[in-house]
Amino acid sequence: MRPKVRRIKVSAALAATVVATAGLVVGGGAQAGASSHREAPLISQDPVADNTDVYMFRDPVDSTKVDILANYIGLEKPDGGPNFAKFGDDVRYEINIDNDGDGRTDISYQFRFRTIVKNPNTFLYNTGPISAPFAATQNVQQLYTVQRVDGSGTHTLLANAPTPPVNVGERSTPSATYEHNLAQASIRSLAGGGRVFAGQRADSFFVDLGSIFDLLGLRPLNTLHLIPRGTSSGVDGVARTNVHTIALQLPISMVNADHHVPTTVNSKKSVIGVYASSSRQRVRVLSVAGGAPRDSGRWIQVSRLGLPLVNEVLIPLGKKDLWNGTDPENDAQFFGNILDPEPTKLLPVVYPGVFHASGPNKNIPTGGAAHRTDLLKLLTGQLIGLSAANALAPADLLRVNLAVPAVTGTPGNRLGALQGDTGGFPNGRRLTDDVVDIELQVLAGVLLNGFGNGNPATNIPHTSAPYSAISDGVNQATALPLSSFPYEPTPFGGYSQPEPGVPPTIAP
Amino acid sequence: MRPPLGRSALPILFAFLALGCSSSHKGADASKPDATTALTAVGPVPVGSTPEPSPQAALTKLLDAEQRLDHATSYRYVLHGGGQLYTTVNAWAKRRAELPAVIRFTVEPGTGSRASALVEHRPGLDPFVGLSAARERQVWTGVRAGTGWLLQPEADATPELPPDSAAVVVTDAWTAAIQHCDQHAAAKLQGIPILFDSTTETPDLCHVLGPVRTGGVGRLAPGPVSGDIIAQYTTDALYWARVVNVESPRRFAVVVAPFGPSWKVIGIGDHP
Repeated sequence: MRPKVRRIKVSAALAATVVATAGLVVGGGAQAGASSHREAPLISQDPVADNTDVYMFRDPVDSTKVDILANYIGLEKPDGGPNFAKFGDDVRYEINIDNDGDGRTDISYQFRFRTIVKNPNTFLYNTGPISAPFAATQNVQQLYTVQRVDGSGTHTLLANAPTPPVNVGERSTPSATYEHNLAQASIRSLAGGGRVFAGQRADSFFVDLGSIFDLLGLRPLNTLHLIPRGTSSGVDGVARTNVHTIALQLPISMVNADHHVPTTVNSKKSVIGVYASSSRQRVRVLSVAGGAPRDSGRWIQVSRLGLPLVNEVLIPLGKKDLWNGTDPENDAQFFGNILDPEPTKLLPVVYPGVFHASGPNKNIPTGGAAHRTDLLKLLTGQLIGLSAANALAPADLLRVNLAVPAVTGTPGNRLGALQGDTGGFPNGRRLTDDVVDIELQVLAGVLLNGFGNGNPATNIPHTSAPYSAISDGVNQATALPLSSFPYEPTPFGGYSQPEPGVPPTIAP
Repeated sequence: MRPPLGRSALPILFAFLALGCSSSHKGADASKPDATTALTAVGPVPVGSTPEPSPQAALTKLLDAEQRLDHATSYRYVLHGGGQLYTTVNAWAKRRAELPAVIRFTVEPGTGSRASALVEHRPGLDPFVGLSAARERQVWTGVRAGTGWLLQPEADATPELPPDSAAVVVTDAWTAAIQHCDQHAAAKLQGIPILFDSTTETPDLCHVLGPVRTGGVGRLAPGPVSGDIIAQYTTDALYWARVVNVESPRRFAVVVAPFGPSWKVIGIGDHP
């Protein structure tokens, strides 16, 4: 049942309305998240199934491989004991691949987890230092099984593999050895090719969560806001938090429709599209005796993510839960929202001195398919090397052109295609790509003729500010990616959490 | 010696339907009326569907396509489209991938609006499909569509289970293997490599002397023993799993699952 929400109309009266209300997002007690952390009313109440980010990039070390990373359970506090975060035993996690451009899944990698509690007579997660996967001292252990579903049927690729223990702290999982002895030791090979990892990692996403959802505040532009504040640097709202990651490193030949590494950039078959999802069974019956609930019925998708930030800020509250339950092939019902983005219409409201919705100084794009050709190209793969003649079926999928050489992501090339980097978002998404700034600038019109013309250095019309100034001021995550699979950084340890206002002195 | 329990003793499990398994794969619902005279045409024939002269004919075509993993073809024989359970062939294919693959089938002769078939699968147990019974009886409901018949997309399926007596035999053998510290022999009698263990004190039987004496065989009931198993294999486990109580040399319970013609151990729990 969706919570009731007040409809906020974008109008001249909005300023007064915005000031009067507690915030722009109302209903269900849901706190808004970012990329896709707690982005919809129902999934915000179900963190275990909440898909927070999807990354995909051609492997920078081995050009014959593609890496796909799906994060769940956002905003994990590292000091989350005694019952640390883990994957849901009653959730089916999926990574879905479209390799022929029709928006439908051709290959699905599915994951199920199972928790083993060796000794139920203690409250302890571990009874001593954990030195290796399956160590006797790890009381709560999670295993997982992977299957691939494709046109030839279902195939179990790996069974009963361990997740590494969460990064409890210095006594239980010493930081000096965690990555090598526990995380890397948990990487497994998949039958038929590829590798997999599933477990806790540091969240690679970065965003000024606190300011953006405080009436679309961008701290570097604080003095220009409708409700001005002093200029300051951005504050990363997901800093020093963890997630649970499912990471796949697959031979491109296993996911490409032609079963080889493509070389023609302008070819539909060079592109794969991905969305991650999670599903739960339809019916849940709670136990009256404190036991585990009983789930039954067919599986229902409860969370999905392809392109970052779509359900977060483009889909209205009234449709967010519906969006989560919809497959990308049915995304046409949401194009009205995606191609007429609400954040664009709110820019003149919250930054009235900069953006103008009408009049001689109108400098925000008009919404709709006819005007937002940039967003249509995003949905059809035309921003990643495909011509109009080779446009793919429009869908919210994270797409990567596997004929384009990999480019290692760094904070220096965080703006991806906006700074001429063909290896970054929207051509896939690397861990360092600043999708918040990229999308803010795109929504403001940086790619459109008559606006940014594809160059972030271009001034916003009728201003002296370039599009590149549109930024939340957070340009990188606390922890940078590893140089090898699974690429997501080592999770932050529970013991090393700083007191409020005190920077940590112990390495994560 | 306890008398063996035959398959005829298997109860009809309306209780599972009452639990709200609205699209449960398991359990025949004999309370559904025979709809020979009840059904009227459902309106326009769904686009892309191929109504057949009888439900049996539709079922034959459907299972034949499923045997070839051709979900796009099998979709033509089920009610679909707007307002239906599976509005696209992709949604149908996703659902079919959640069910055991068809190896062989025999459509049973019959008249009326229901069609049934004995369907064979590769026996097994996994957390995606759950139980893949070696053989099960599927009952599909036919629906008039134009001048022909289509099928409702969800069938009632009842797996054929080995006799309960065989569960006792397996439990005796497995317990004896553990007593002899023969992990190899015990592993052969297990259906999964890592058993579900909900015991508060795991019975240590290695080198423990004394005869193995088992007690009664019962169904897996909701509770501490079944929680993890249900999380992996759905509430269908309450139907197909059996619990055999071991009385000596230690008291505990063994959970078994059907694998083809026999049972295999999948878990242990506290003696009730």
